[in-house]
Amino acid sequence: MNVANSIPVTIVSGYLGAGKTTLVNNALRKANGLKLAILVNEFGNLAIDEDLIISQDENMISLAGGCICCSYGNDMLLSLKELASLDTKPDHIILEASGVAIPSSIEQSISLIGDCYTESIVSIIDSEQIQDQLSNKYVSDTILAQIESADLIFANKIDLILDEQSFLSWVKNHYLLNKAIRVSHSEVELDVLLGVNRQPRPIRDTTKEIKINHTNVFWSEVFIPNDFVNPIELSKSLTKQAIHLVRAKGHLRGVDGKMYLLQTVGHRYYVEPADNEKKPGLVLIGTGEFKNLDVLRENLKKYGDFDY
Amino acid sequence: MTKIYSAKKIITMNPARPFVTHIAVKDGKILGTGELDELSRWGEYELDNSFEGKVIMPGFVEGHAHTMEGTLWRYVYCGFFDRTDPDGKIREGVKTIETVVERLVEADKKLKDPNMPLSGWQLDPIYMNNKRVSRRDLDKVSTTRPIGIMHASGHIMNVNSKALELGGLMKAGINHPGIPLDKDGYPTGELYGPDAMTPIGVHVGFNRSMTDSDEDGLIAFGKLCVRTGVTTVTDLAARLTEEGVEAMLRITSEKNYPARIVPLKVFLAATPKETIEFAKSLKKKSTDRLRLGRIKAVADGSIQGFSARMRWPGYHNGAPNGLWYTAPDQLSELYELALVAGIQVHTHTNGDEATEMALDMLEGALKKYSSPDHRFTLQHCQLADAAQFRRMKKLEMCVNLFANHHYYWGDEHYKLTVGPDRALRMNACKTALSTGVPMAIHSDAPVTPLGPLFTAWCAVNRLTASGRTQGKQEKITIEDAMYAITLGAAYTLHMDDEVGSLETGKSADFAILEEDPYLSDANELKNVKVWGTMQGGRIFDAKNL
Repeated sequence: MNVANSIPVTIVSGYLGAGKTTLVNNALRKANGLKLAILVNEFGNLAIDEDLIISQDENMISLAGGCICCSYGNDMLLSLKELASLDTKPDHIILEASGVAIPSSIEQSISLIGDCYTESIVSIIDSEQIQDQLSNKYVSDTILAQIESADLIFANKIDLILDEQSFLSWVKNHYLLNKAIRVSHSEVELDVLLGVNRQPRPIRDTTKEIKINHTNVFWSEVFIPNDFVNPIELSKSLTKQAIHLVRAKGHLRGVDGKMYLLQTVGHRYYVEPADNEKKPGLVLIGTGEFKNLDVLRENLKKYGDFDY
Repeated sequence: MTKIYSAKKIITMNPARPFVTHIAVKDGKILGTGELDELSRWGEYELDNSFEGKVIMPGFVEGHAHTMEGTLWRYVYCGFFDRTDPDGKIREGVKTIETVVERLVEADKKLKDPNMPLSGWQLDPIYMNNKRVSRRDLDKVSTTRPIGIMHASGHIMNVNSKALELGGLMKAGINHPGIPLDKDGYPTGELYGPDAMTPIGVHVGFNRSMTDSDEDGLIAFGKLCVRTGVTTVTDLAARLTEEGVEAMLRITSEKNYPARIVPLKVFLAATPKETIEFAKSLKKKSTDRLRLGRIKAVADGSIQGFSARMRWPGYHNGAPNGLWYTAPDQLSELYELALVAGIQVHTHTNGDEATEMALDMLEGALKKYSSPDHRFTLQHCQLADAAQFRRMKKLEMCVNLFANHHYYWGDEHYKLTVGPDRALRMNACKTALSTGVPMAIHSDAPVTPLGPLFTAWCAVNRLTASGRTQGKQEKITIEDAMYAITLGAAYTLHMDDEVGSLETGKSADFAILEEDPYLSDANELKNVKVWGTMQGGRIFDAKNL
């Protein structure tokens, strides 16, 4: 896999009604110059404003700003291959899995296509329904498998939960808490969904808070290394659950003096050689409820000297 | 002009007069059955004695097949069992991997273009002591031409190095459950499941439209129907693209097309609402020989592929539970909309949990939208137990059991997939009938060969390929089996008013046989020879197609 030369794919999984399609629609609305390609099982519930549609045929909708939507029907891999061989390559592919698909299997299949790689698996759950669904005799194992293979879990429709405390303690008992990000109306910033720097951002940002419907707060923070670091060891530490990070991305000079690109999302990380001219810097994103910069700084210190 | 045909015996499936000697045909329909004297009272007629030595039955109805079998015959046949091709030639089964390779070498010599893919089909290593075919075996055929062989199950494919190379998989370090690796770290060339097969399939002649039959394929399939006595046949999971439907309409309307095709639109890649609307619009395009407007849903995968959904205690070999191909809520929505729209849905269920799920969803839908005579049908339904058949009865469902599967894979189910106990109850024809569930039996061609008499033989004898009788309590009589392949199957398609028996007013569709299946030794049923068919009053001689 070569992250730099292949197209990142974000797999969006979740059972029916969890909010996958809304998530995808929201992403399209926020694309803001980013050329997104959306792969959906069927166009059925896509709610794309008509004025954004430039052209549409049976399998593809072209949108203003260079985004496209394709339905993959019974052949997801071929559709992915076709997307990757378009003249104008998409910057990022969002693959909306079917409600009963197991995303880890999709990831294994994507690994067979040279031109794409799985950037992350996100799983969206309907906070109101999830308890019933996890006790449903037909779909509980499927939904559990979706949750288990996810790097990020969006606990959607959190605004509909009356007793949030007891819900959260239930979630915690099901080992979801450390990964689950509270969301409503499937509103997720592109930075969080697709990775850091997926939207224009000044390089040396100060701590920035993004308020989303008053139910969830993401923070992001930039750290500049003054030192050589071991990017793999650092990546591993950033994916530890105790750190509570959603994502990290940046360029770092390794102990061998070479420049590396580092990305993490949930438990997943990628490290690979990068252009030597890149400016070192590391952007971290977390959720407001787990913002403990002291812990983070202590952790970073073990791997190098950072300015922040 | 009325034509009266005489026969050694005419089996009508009409209890009023089950066996007669003459049948009168007018305008493609049956005017009457009985003695010549009785029929002559209709007025002027022409007597035709060409079938006087033959036995006439209602044309067979195959309730679960795929017309793609017609297209597969242009590829190299690699099946273990002898099989008759559309031209009536018996293609010998291949018993060893060496013979598979030899056969491919012969086919390779005939291809002039060195880059053209070579495709084979119907390989099944379980009959060859499970010895696996590797890319090295196929490299002996060619290193320059991509080669691919589809297995009988349709879930596994073997390819050569060139095919792997074209698909970008001829490399080390692949980590995929569907792609086993050789000692050298490269794929062995055996590919499991659609995800592993797809990237390579396009290079070896098996692309995404392989389930569609093209015009030549439909013509070839029609010939197979004549050879097996089939006059009405389903195409049970058709994509039904615009071009596909046009081609079907064109071919079936040709003067000499010998079969009535009933394609079911597969519920895939569209919402329930879109699918229902599509089926409704298709229904209007129906003709006498192309019956559109039904839907096929797929609840789970296959038992031998371990992708079927099983209830406790699951697979006998400990494999994890299978996969849902359709979410329960989606199936429920489809059922509700279909009941309201009067569109019939057939649902593939293999594992008993999938059957349970479909029953639950239909029960819920029927409570909201009670719909008399819906005849929603479970297809395969291989593992259903007695309680599930009782629920089918209560919900007024039909079932189409996979009798042929029991013969071809029964031993595998006994040894490996579900174990002895549940293997005995698979495809429980007797339980279905004694519970009162309307039942058909099927071949799922091309998975197993089209041939209702063979299918009937499977249900009557319940033998497996190794020669064991598996589940003798589920054997049915020849009479019941003959009913299942005629009126039984017609009923599951809401077509029992038109076909399935020889009665006044119904379509003149006959299976014309050389022998009487009712007199035959139960073991001989599969050897009863088919002379040909009559379809809508038109005669088709299997020897002169």
